[in-house]
Amino acid sequence: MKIGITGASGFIGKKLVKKLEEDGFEVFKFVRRDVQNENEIFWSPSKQEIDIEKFQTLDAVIHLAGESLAPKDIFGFLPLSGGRWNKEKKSRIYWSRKWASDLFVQTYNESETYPKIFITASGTTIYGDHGDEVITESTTKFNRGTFDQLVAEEAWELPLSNIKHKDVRIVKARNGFILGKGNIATQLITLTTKLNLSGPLGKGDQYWSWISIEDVINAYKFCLENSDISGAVNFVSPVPITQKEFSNRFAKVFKKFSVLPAPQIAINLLMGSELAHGLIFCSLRIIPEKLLKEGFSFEYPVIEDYAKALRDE
Amino acid sequence: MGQIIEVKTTKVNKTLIFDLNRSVSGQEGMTFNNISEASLIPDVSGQLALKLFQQIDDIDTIFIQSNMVTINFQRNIGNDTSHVENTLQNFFIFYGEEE
Repeated sequence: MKIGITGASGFIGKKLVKKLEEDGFEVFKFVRRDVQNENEIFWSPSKQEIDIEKFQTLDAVIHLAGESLAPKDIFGFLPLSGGRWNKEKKSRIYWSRKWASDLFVQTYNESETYPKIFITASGTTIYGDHGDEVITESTTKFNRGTFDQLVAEEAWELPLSNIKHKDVRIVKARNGFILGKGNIATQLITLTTKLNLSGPLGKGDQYWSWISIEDVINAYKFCLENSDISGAVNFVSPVPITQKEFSNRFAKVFKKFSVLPAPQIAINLLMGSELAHGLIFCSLRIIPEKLLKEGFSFEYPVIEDYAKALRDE
Repeated sequence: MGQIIEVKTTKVNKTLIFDLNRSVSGQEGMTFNNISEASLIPDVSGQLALKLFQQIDDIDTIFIQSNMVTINFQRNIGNDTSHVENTLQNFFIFYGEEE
């Protein structure tokens, strides 16, 4: 099976490429520079260019590319750094997704032969803040009004409805809060926990729908291979918990305290209120109904198991 | 191959109550509010609830206590409840084979 992957050098992409190649898939990486070998496909979302002939030979596309919502490192959170959601960063976040979605729609619609499976990354931020209400893929009420919600809905998911071929199985992988070695959120959580600096962020009663990177990779492969899955799919662990609870349980595994509160106003000042809302304060109590219905088995369903894995690395 | 069980069904509005001729859980009973909760319980009652959530649409909650299985649906599913009964019976026939 020939799989084309965008964002192959990113946090998810690197691990997914490795997994798929180990499992015998033929992987082609979409690259923006000149191709260097036959397993690369040229594309340029900003110029709306793509090697359409190579695209047409693929069986599936997994589209992960997009400017990261979170800063690349800890310093990116600081004022005047490029990681905060200033006008320029927001523009890159939005257009990197919109241009790519538009390019794929146009390429599909111009092609007689095309990949029959299209899996796109999206975000659980599409639902918007829902307080303690349980969200599944059947939840159609989106609480709009924030930038990250707009991006997931308007730049990532909506354009795909314009693909005219009805025999393309489109999966919208709504990624939750991904934990894993090498990503900034995990580094920050682990570091503050080890230093006894963790605790409730704001009131701490906002729900975090987290998932381990290992389960994200397995879920992408599961969706690729399971022909019954289409439409929106929540990539989150089965147990969303409040931030306060998350922090407590995480600290317990590390045998540390989790008592130091961080007022919302201080975090807003440090990170900017939009980024802080998107990453920390938006309450999303989401369950992965579709994955579980189809028989997906989570490697790390509860936070304690994953905290132990991170601790013992 | 597991045992074949008998199921007696009572329907009250949006609720189906199944009386089984074997016990599935202890006396204390357990409520499953969604498929996620069921997926986390490795015992027979959790696995049964998971199978029901996987195979039957529009379930709101499942309560399992001893030999009684109560399923609350989000809507009235009509009088033909055979697909739910079949799911219950098949679960016990095949339980353990997938492990």
